[in-house]
Amino acid sequence: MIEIVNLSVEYGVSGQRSALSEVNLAIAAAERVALIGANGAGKSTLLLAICGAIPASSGSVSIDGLPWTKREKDNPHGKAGLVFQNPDDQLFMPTVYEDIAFGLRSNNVSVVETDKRMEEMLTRLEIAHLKDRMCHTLSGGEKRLAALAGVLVMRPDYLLLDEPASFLDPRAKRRFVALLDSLAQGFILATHDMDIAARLCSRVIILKEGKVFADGGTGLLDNEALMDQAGL
Amino acid sequence: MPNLYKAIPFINEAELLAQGTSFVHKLHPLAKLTGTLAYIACVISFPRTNTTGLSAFLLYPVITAAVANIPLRFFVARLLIAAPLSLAAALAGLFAPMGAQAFISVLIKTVLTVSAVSLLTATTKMTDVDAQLARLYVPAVFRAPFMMIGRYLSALTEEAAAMSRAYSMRSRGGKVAMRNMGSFLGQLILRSFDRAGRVSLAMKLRGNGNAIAITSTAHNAPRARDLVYIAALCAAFVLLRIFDISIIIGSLFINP
Repeated sequence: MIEIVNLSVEYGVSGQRSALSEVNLAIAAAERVALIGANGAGKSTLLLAICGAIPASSGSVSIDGLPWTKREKDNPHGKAGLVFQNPDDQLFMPTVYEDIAFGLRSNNVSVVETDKRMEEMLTRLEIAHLKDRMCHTLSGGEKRLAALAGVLVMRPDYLLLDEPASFLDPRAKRRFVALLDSLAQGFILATHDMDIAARLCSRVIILKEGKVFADGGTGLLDNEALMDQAGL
Repeated sequence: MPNLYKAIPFINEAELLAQGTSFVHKLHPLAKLTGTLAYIACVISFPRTNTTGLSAFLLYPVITAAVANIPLRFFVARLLIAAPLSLAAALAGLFAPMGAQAFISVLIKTVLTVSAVSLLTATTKMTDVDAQLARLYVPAVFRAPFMMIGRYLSALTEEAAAMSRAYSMRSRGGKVAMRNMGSFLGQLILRSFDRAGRVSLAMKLRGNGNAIAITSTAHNAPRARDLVYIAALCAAFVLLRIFDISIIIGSLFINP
């Protein structure tokens, strides 16, 4: 369970800009949650805060009862895995194989276990043919799959996806959505794509100006007045 | 500036070539690193007036590049980068006693050492080189800049290329004017910091806490053939350093 209590995040030297303001949420491990909101509503910030990648100005985030202290903030892997909005930011190793294996090697996973998990992941995402390719030569869809593989291979308890369908053409998007749909685990999906949110998720959280504006089922997506008020 | 996009493949070329499968590529990274360090040590230890002995050292990059299938242009491009600095250093000593020989010696040493390092980068992945430097107990403070430059240089170039393209499309394809250069470079630095920050974050979120330590596939110890390679290479370099092979060969054809 991810428990977010009175979470506020402020940017700037003296907190001039509030990115999140007193957010309270509880998200179960198996839940598929769509996080939607206008640009600048705080979706990416919330995902980063859940990972412990950015400090909370006030309030707390705990995963399975474990709060992120400063020490844990630097070492948040294993619990929550974040797939970045732009895969170019995430693919920093020369080849696809090395990039996907990066997290396992960083965490001193044995060579035998690394090979096993890599084989499994490459097969599951149908990207075995890409493993020796240089990351910068991949297409947008291939980069997205490689970035997802790099996170999934670490077997995070909670999967966080930041605009996973951006930069994808319709076919690549369909393939990616089908892949997400086939995952056994739950995830939190920050997206502007209402169709994807409706198809993949059972719960919708709408953010507006850093606050939780609405929280409910996918029926919220059909409420045009609400969506309009949320700036969507 | 719009040609910056052409620089991206140039920066990534070494990593691309390092994916090769030749005999040289398959050697243990430690063998190649040791060989390169021994080669450089022998080359730079030559007296500044000895040019004939140095020329024999050209055999190593030529033969290794041929075996590893590394194109000549790869070396030429990197030599051109080092050329101005080397030329300036060589010219500084040109008017000293034995200046002409010293001038040629500096240029030859530049060609040899730059070729050797280029060869290492074109046959060995950057992460593997770093892992072997760590194995040799080179402190992280010395390895980190090497890895950070390697990692972020392409990010910086991509940002610069994107910005210059956007600029040229709104300025009739022109180069960045001097009056805009300050804000252009300022924005480039800010964007690069942002990008580098995101890459660093991606590393941290996958368990690399200091965003510097690098993982490598080369965990295994060198095999027998790697040790033979190191021994043979070092022995050859030492022999070439002690005996001037050019003069020995030349003396066979010239009667005293």
